[in-house]
Amino acid sequence: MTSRYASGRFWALCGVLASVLLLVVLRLGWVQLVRSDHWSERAANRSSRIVALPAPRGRILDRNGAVLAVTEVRTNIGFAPGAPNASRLDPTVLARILGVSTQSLRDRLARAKGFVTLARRVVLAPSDRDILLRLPGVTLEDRLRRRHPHGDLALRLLGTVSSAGEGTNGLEKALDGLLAGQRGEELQRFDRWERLRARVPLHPPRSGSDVRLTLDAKVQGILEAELDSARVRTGARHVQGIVLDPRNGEVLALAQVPYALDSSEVSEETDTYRVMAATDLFEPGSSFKLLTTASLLSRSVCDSSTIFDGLARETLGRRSRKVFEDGQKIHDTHGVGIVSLRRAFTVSSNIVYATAAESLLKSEFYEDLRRFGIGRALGTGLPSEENGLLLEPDDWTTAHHRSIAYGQGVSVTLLQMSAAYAALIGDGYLRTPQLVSSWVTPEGEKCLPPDARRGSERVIPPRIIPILRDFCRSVVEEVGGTGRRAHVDGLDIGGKTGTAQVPSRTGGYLHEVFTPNFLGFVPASDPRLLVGIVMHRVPDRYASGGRDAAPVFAELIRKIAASTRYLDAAAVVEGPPTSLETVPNLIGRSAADVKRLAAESGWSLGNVPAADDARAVGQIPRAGSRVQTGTRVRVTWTGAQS
Amino acid sequence: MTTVTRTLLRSDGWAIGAWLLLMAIGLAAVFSCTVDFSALDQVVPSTVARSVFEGQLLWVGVGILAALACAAIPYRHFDTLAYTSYALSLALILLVLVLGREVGGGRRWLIVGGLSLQPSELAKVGLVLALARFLASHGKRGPTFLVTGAFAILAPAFLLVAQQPDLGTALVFPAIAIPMLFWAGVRMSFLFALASPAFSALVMFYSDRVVDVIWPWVIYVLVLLVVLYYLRLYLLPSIGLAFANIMTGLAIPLVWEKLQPYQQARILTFFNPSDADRLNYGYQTFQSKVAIGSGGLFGKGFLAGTQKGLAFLPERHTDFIFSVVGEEFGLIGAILILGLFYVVIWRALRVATVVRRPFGSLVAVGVASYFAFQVLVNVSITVGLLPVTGLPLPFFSKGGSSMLVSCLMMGLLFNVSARWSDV
Repeated sequence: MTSRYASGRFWALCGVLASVLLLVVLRLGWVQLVRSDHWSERAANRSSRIVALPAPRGRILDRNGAVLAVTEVRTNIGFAPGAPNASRLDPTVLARILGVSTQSLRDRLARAKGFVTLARRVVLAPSDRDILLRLPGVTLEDRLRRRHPHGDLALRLLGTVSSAGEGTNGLEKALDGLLAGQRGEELQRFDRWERLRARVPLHPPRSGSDVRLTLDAKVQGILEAELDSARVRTGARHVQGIVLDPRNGEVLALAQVPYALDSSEVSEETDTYRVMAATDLFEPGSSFKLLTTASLLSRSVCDSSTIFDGLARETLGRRSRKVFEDGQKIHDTHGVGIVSLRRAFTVSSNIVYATAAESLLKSEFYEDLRRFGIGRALGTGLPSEENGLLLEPDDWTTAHHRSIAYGQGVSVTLLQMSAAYAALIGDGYLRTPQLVSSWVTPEGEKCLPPDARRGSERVIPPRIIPILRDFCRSVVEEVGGTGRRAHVDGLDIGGKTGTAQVPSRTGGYLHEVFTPNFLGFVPASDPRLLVGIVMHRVPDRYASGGRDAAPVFAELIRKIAASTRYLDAAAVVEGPPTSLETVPNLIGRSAADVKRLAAESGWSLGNVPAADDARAVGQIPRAGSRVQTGTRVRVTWTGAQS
Repeated sequence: MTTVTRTLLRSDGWAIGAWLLLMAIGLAAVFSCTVDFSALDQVVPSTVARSVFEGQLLWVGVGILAALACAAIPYRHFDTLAYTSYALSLALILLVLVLGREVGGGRRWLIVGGLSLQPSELAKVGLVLALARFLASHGKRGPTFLVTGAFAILAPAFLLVAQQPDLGTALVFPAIAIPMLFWAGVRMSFLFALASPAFSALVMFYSDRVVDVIWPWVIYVLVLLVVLYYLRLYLLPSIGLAFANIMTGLAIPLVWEKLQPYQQARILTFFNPSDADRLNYGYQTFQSKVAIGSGGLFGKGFLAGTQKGLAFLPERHTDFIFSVVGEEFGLIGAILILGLFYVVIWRALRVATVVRRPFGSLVAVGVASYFAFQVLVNVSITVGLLPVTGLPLPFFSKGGSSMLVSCLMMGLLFNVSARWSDV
């Protein structure tokens, strides 16, 4: 076999070999270059899964840092004997994590015919979790649970969290953006038997922020207890209450009882878990008169001492009724006669307010009410917040115009009423009631909510504010005031009662069911706390804001003053109010005499005599009336042209 | 030792270099198989134990010693011992039939003192020697005699191994024989004619199992008859050839029935690789293609193969180790390894042309054929060009027998190349 002989065969074999090799290389190129993406995708599909990592939900704290809601992850550990390689499970590691003896676990696993749960609601360390995920046959089932260390406290306001970790109602829903955080993602690689073999973090979950509310757990507790006993006492269907700081709009407590609402009341739009202060409308009744007063005074239609004819044309026992020219009949519980606007407020005369409001233009009145926040949502962010109901002035009849003045034909939420009161007796700025005081991001950055003020302008001129406070104080502190039961010894209280009628479904109002309410603040001269109480549907024909809601307020303030520091700095009134003056009899006195008297006492002269020799022939208020310091007394002089 | 050194210094440097490189890369690949995707914990054991790599390391040592020993002894002694060694390996296969241990549906392993051996692998070396001796000593005889003789020699090995059943290994025997026959002087056309019954079988299988009509095979037979008529061969061989073609064709359906179910499934899957089969018999090919294909041009990096690491790749340390290489080193690595094998085969053929002694020349061709068949078939399986059959990749696949036999083959090559001038 010479090399010459072999040469041809060498090349032939080399040729065959090279061509087959070329074929294989071409095939490799096809698989690894041309189809590489296809196969890479297949590789990823089989082995990799992108798994969402739940972000730990932020905690909810009260203003002092007490934890109101916190999420816990509890894990159920199970074992599926049928899973791939389950028989290869080494029980030593598992036993260590479960805290049981290896032998007993081994026996238990050996006995398992189907799926068994080895441990329930365990709090797992991350490293242990990592190990358990890799054990063949071992399954982990995470349960996220929102725990409330304070039990039922503020539960309805806080709301609930779904099993998926999303806020479903209340603040949990409203603040979901802050609390929820951002889900993370990780790439998990599984082997052929679906066992987790590697976890590659893509981006870590960002936990939610811890939100500090403006609520004070202590005040909240007091409020809830008071509302509860009030409901039991009166038989109201439910009672709502709010405590807020009118200086900044911070809500210290917001409650409703009972927690679970009657299913018969739950319509399709609302749900059992609603925060009623934001969603449930009521006709405020007389407590609305503060808003009317503010409109009257700020438009200078009249002042506090302007006299109105509250005389009823008919009296029915103690009740009196006035029939207006268009036939509208307006009732007062007690006849009032001819009174100043202030007195009409104190005794809550519908007739006077209906009369007074007539002198306001519909558009002016409407504009003012809108400015006070009536008929528009406040933007608290609470789920299903209502706008309230205030018709356009073009749709007002004269009767409507009159009844709005004493709070009928208009619907509000408790939050709206509180916000309006806070603006009118506070610093004049309308504020959205604040529930969030601050939040701390997972990075530790502290954030504050935007300013609660709505609009940069005051909704009323500042000069009106002391007058309104005084009006409210008279309701509680003066004889005949409807809110006398709101009085608390040692504190200077202002407020206004309201006894709203409940519209019946067939039109008109129910006669046996009322919605008493009371909005009060303390101290009256420089309010630090504003409280709103609404008792829905008290089944008692004699129910009233003064009889039913005001005592709740008083009891609440008493307890807050006793057990918290909010009212520590509030001026305690020494003895009876000193600011009342008795108007002397001026009739027959000379102008100089009257001027001297006015200068010596607290009241002022409403109108200057035309000449010094004029004599007083009439005066309003009449002699013996007790009036506020600074009240102007109008005197009719001889020789004056009318 | 001096003999060994002298032999190595005089033998083919290219082949030695390629051999050492291949063994090094092969060891690395086996090591990679023992590394799971996440070796983070000891909770889940690796599906391929670290001891596999240690065992392979041992076998590499044994292989190198065997190759050196094989190279040191002048190959004319192998010439005299050729038939004896072949007979010995056949005896071992018979022994396996009696004492062997059944693993994975086949009785192939002989356990000796803790080491498992596959006598069918050793028979490959025996066959190369026996065929070389036969063809060298009867070089002057006609092709019919050579072919008949050669097939008579390989028949017992083929049949014994095929019934183990291990069709893949059995096919190595004719694959070694045919190039050696060609080298011994049998014409290509004769070999093609000889191979025609195999084509007949293939066409019949295609007709019977895939398209389910007999016509393709009938047409094949008619074309064959026409070709035979125009070739104007002798009457008797022509008739014999036609007869052989028709008989093998007709025998195919009967043979099919005799095949093991897993063999039937593998063959069917190859012809019809639909996704429905992916989880069963097509699974291996599919996963192999996923691994290699996802490797791309440059690969995922040593130890970083995901399909390997997540145990998707079946038989990844044995028959499908090339997929691991393809996944981790990419097309570049795959071509490099094929290139190294090509160097070995090319040098073996080169040696065959220069060796003076026909026996030595034929041994070199046998060695070349062995490597060419093992490598090309193994790699073709991993890229889905051929149906799955258990065939190891020399120097890569885990397993002592394969490593030992491949090293012995290399030893024979070094032996012959160092003593090319011997007469």
